[in-house]
Amino acid sequence: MIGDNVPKILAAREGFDVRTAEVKNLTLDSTKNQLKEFMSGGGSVTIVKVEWDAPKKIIEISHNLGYQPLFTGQFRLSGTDDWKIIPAGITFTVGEAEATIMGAMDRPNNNILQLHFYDFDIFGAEYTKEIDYEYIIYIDPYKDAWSS
Amino acid sequence: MPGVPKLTVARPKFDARTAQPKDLAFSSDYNLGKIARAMKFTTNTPAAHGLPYTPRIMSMREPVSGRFGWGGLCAVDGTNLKPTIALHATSYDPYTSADDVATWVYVFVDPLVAGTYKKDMTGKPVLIVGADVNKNDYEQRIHSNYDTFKVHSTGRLTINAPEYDPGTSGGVKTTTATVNHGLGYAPMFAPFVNYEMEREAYLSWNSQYNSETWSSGKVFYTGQDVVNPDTSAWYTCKLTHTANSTNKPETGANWATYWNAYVEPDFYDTYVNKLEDQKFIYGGVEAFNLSYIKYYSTSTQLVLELSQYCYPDDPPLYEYTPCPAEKVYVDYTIFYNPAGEEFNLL
Repeated sequence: MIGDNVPKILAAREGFDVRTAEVKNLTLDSTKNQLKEFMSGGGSVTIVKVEWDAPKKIIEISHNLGYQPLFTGQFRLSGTDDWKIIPAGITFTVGEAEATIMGAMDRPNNNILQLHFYDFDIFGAEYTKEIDYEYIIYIDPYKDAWSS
Repeated sequence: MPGVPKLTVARPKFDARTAQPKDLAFSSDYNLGKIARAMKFTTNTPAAHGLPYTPRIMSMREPVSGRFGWGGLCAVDGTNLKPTIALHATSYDPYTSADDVATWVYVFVDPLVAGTYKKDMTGKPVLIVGADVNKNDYEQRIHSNYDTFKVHSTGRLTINAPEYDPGTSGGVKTTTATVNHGLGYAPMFAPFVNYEMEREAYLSWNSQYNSETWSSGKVFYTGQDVVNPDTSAWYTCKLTHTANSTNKPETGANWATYWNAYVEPDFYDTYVNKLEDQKFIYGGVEAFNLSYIKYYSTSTQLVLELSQYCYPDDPPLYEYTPCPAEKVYVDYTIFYNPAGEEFNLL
């Protein structure tokens, strides 16, 4: 709200008047807590599926925030175009069969976040596939972030 | 950082010069995710996102009209959004399902695969903070053309469901915990867990996925549950390491640095924030009594819902057992951002 003698920075969406716009139509509002990215990154990991095996690869990310932060991530098969949101599965063909690599995450403690890529089907076809992943870890905790 | 201009705003009563990052409203030290567009899909037909590269996305489901939950299914490439309309349960006794009303996709100007995009802001007021404001919009830490997640409120919702004993013919009982948000529209919220989860499947699959057998040379990751094949005793890894005789549970000289004795989880005490880590394992789950958890927003409330499904007596296959009392709780964050309003800031 403008006119309450509280200094602030406000910006409204195009087509809205910053003096009267609802908060949902403000792009920036310094009186509110905006989600802030602490770290982001990405990489690639190779999944090798052999007979009677359910392979998994774990990527450990140390954020050392001391609390559980909000997180988002996406992944794809290297060399393909379609990225999916973690958690999800990517299904592809191996010869005449199909296989699925799952993307997931874990929060083993307040300083580490893990990405998990795995195939749960021990009976499936053998293959070697590379996965690309990207992630964002926010500064903001998933519990008791400040609000006004 | 003398000589580096910044824009930093702290929460009320905090000093922007000394506040912890989590106590800031925003700061040019940290990128603000820039939400460029919200799109609604009622079919699986792809549509262009409007950026000349592959952008980051998030996705929600609208299982029934006006109800929003996370776990929307959508892929994205350099041109298109490729949504999938998901299924949601319509009954647990018998189990039936139906297509969601819609999948919602929120497109960020921030890329998964870098490209070139800078909106022409000629003649328009704009606040941009970054190392070089002539570079791409996503390279700016703050860019007022794009929307940001803004926290409205936080708190805890708790369900303490008593034992459910409907008798040998079984039944379903649903209990909810709600908070009125007062926004007048269905907002986005956190944690970003799936709209609908079944507790027995979650626990069973995660337990199977997370279980390993100790052997020398193997890498064990923090959080993994591992059995010592010599003693059949279970341990939980507390520090990622490569196994050898010095860190083997109980017998290695340094074992206590790497292992805690395994503690059986309380199956009837579910922290919904934790359910982000769901894994899937080959095969089904051998369970009869089930607990379905839903987490969603409407135009008036944020809702945590527990449905206890008590399986009927079915001799000789299954002897009737009431659903035990259970607790389900979530530490929630409600955002000002509407879940179900399309916009395009590109």
